[in-house]
Amino acid sequence: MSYLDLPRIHFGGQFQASPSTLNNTANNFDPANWTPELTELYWAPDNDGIFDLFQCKVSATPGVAPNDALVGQPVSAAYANAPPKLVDLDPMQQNVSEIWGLLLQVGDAAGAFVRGTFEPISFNGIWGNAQGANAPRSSASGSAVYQSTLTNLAWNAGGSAVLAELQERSPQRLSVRMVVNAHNNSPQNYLFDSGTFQKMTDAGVPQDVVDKLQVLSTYSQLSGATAGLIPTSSYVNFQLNLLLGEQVAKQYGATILDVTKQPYTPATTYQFDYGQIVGTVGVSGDDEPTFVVPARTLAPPSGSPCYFAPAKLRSDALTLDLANSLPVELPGQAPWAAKLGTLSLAYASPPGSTNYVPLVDDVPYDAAGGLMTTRTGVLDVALDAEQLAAVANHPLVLLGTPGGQRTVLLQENPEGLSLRADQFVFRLNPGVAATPSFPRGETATVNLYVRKFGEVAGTEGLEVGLSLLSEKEAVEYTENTLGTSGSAGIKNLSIPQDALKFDAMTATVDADGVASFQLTGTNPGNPRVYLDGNIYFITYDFTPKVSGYVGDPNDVVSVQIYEQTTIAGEPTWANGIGEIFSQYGRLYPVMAVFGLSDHASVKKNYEIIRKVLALDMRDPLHMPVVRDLSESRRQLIFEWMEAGMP
Amino acid sequence: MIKIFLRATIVALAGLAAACTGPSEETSPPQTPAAETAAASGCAADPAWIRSPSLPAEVPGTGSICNFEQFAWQSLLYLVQPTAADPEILQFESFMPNYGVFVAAGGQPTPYGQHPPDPCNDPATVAAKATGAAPFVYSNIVKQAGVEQPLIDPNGQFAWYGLSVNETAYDMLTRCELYRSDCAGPLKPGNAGTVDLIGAYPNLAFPDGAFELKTAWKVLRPEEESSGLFYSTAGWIQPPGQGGACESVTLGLVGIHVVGKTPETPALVWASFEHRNNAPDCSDLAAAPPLGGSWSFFDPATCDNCTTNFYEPGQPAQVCRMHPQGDSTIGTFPAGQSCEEDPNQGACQEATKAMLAESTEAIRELNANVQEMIRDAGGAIDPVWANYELVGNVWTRGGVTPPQLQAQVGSLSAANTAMETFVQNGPSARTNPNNCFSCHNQDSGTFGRNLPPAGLSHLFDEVAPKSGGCADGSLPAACGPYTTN
Repeated sequence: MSYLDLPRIHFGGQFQASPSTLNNTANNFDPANWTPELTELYWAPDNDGIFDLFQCKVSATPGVAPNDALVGQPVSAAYANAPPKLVDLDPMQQNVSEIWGLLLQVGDAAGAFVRGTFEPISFNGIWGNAQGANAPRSSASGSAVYQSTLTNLAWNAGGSAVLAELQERSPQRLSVRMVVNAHNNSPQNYLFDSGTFQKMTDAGVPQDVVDKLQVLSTYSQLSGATAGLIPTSSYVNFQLNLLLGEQVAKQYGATILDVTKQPYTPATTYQFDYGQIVGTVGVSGDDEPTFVVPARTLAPPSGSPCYFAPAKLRSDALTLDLANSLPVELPGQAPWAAKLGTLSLAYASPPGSTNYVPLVDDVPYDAAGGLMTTRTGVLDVALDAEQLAAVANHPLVLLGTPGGQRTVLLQENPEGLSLRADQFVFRLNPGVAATPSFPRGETATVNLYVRKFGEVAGTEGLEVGLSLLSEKEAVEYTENTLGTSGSAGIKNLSIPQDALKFDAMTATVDADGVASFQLTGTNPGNPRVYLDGNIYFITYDFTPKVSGYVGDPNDVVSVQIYEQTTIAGEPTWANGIGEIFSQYGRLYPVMAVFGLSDHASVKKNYEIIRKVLALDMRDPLHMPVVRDLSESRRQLIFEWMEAGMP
Repeated sequence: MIKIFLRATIVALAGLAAACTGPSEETSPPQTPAAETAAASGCAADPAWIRSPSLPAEVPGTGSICNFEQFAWQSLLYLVQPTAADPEILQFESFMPNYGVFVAAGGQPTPYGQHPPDPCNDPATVAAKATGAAPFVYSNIVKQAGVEQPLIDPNGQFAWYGLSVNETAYDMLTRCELYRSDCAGPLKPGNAGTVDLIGAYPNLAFPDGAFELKTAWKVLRPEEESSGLFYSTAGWIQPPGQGGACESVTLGLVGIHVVGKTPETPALVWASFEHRNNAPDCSDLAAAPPLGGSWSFFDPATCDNCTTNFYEPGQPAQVCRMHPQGDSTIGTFPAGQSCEEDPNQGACQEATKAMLAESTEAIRELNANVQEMIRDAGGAIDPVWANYELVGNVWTRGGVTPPQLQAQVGSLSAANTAMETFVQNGPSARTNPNNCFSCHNQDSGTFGRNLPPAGLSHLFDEVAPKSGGCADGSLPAACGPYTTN
């Protein structure tokens, strides 16, 4: 059971993603680059790492009577203070941004609602869905999926039939899928150059104040980009406070911002840091995997403008999720009709042939049809008995007519095989045992789910193989992802290769349709010098390869192995501890009030620093926000604090 | 002392008023709506709050924002009236302090109504306490909640804090033995205990009518004491890290949180009052103190391009108010991100903005009306209380618990400059809104598992480690009524 079953709740609205970008480039971790001229600010240096939902509402509740009381009710992240966080695994792997600390609430807490813990997961299925010539050349043109499970559920079904039925059928867990795109990551910029300095003087800003701002003309957002172009008023204010002091910054800040403000071109139609989100919540069996919906998968043939789509054959209908599969011309728009033409759904009979037996002649994907909005891209097709029988063992095909030519846009492989990992991100701490309460120890299990036409039957005994990317392959992979591309300083990945050990490189699919691998991380040392440990990438495929099977290129397992950090001698600020804190102090301006680069400031604030360091990683207040502090370093800090912070 | 003389006079007048109106009960039934008001306009004050003071049992009227502010002020005006038993002791001073409840292992809470022993065993003071001849405050708390840092005033003195509960809350704490570590369990951060409070007692809550107070005091200089601007009292302070030596001082009240529970407010009502001379608004540091004299926690003479609301060990802090009336949409914003700059902020949404505007207006109006009412009360109440104002008040819509942001109502950026000085925009100074619920929110330390509603209070931080209790893994039978709310 999953969100593809009925009943389900569809919702849509906006999301906020506000990652800090000063730590989004390996370049900035290198102390050699800790000068204004060599620092890369990117687009939001002092962002706060928040992920949040904004103005989301329930749009439909198929599977129960229309006009359910839940329709129109809010969908939100429930928190009293600390919003959820968006977390990159590593500056060299930003293509798996995770959501941590999200308590998802569907409905109003004062009325009918269900609320549950969104099990932390990275996005997957990221692709460039905005394909028009004028679409931004950035992740603003991307779309991705968060597939997870809601746990620890709190219910008040109230007068909502859909909540009552979901609670009846799925009281402990719910399946949830969210598709995000059209994120506006284009900041308002402020230019500090000789021209704007003169304007400041003309506007009455004293010369000694202007002189103190000269350094801002040397910063740039990316190496080689326009110098002096500072992103966001927030970061400008941060710098003004730093350079001028609070009262002087307050006195002249408005004038300085006014004369340096540049014309603004948003990347999408949303406010800066916001984008579009649609989601679906449905039933989940207690024994279902947490992060993967083992479903049928339609893959794009070479040249298709579309992307992978999951599908499920239910007892009386077929459900196809197109939320992350159809191209748009510009971010946030309705599917691009010129690229799709008339969409139709069929099955290939016999499998592998081009004889397509129609199921739906005209999929109403335009804005007026409501499929991509109200129903958040999830298409339900009622089938008769003959169709049900045929679809059960024949590949599905989504066809279009771009340019008037009937074209296959998505299709299942002739074998109907699908293969997907449950979890794509692992953090391993060598020397620390993995336990249920501390899953980030030195070992982990990768579970790969295999299905044939969406069923376990027929998968047992198949072989699946792993492949560890070499140093060169790892760099090539990450530099070509939508999340990481453009970052400077990526090198020395995936070495030493033998630091990541496998119990086997091939595994046999078991009777439950699962192939499992055990990973063990050993101390990789410090091959990247100024970044802790290393990142390894693993790909997987059927072995031998299955003809016609196309794997999702995003299905790469990322493994972070931390260095087993030790400090020779007594840990002191000068001997090891200061080095750890200082990097955070430099790369997280949002934490400026704690003065993490300064020994006295850390001592002054140690109680609150210790408290947030000690919080469980799932807590939204856990620090560091990027959750990249190894367990050995964390313990060193605690020991240092216990010793009086010498 | 002039101050004492005034209080004695007021006590006599109040006693006369009480005699005319019958005995004052600790709680009163809901007043729907206030029938008689002294309001010049807007959110009205009721002279009955002075004439026949009582702790309100419920938010009056229709539960409008104004009604919640009225609840707060009515509560305070009861709390600052003399007790019937001892006219020298005000109601709030008769509450049981934390050290009378949260005793060390093997100890027993002091019976309600008696003065608990404090560590400052000065014979004269002990005798005074025993006779009730002198009001007193004992405090050894200087660290503020949230950041665990002290506030130092321009005179180089710490601000001092006190915690206390009324009898209704005391009864719950003692009958449930929540002053013992194994009973309190996760209510005290980092404490395990023997009771599965989250699983077995998910509804454990303070009863209706429970009130909890947190007070903030400054050490008064002689000229401040004689100014008559502060409610003052004799106090013992026990500076941390100085060998436990106690110092006898005169303390002036600079802030008080009044937190109460009613049948309609399971997430409690969180009101905060301050002395009006505490600190200027951050947007107007040049402002003169409204009561004359000087600011208690801001010194313009030493603020040369100073950093405000910033803790530096051993140094006075330069304090200002970031969000007047706790209004998230006005004042000083994290990183300058006002609603104009970032219109998507939660507090900047139209409905929330409208709510905040209503809250701000109600607080302003009611403060003005209450202050006028006190001044016009003909001595029925110490006029010093006109020198205090409501600075914030939050609750939840429909009594929602846990108090998620979407359900919070009132001054969403409520903070007391004397008690939450450094966290007015959160510990990182980057969070707006930030208010009482930002910390008092039933977080258990395990994400997704909330403490029962009793966990809204942080009194349990005071539970003595290894103080036992609940050996059979359950709360005492006497606790039953508090577990089924």
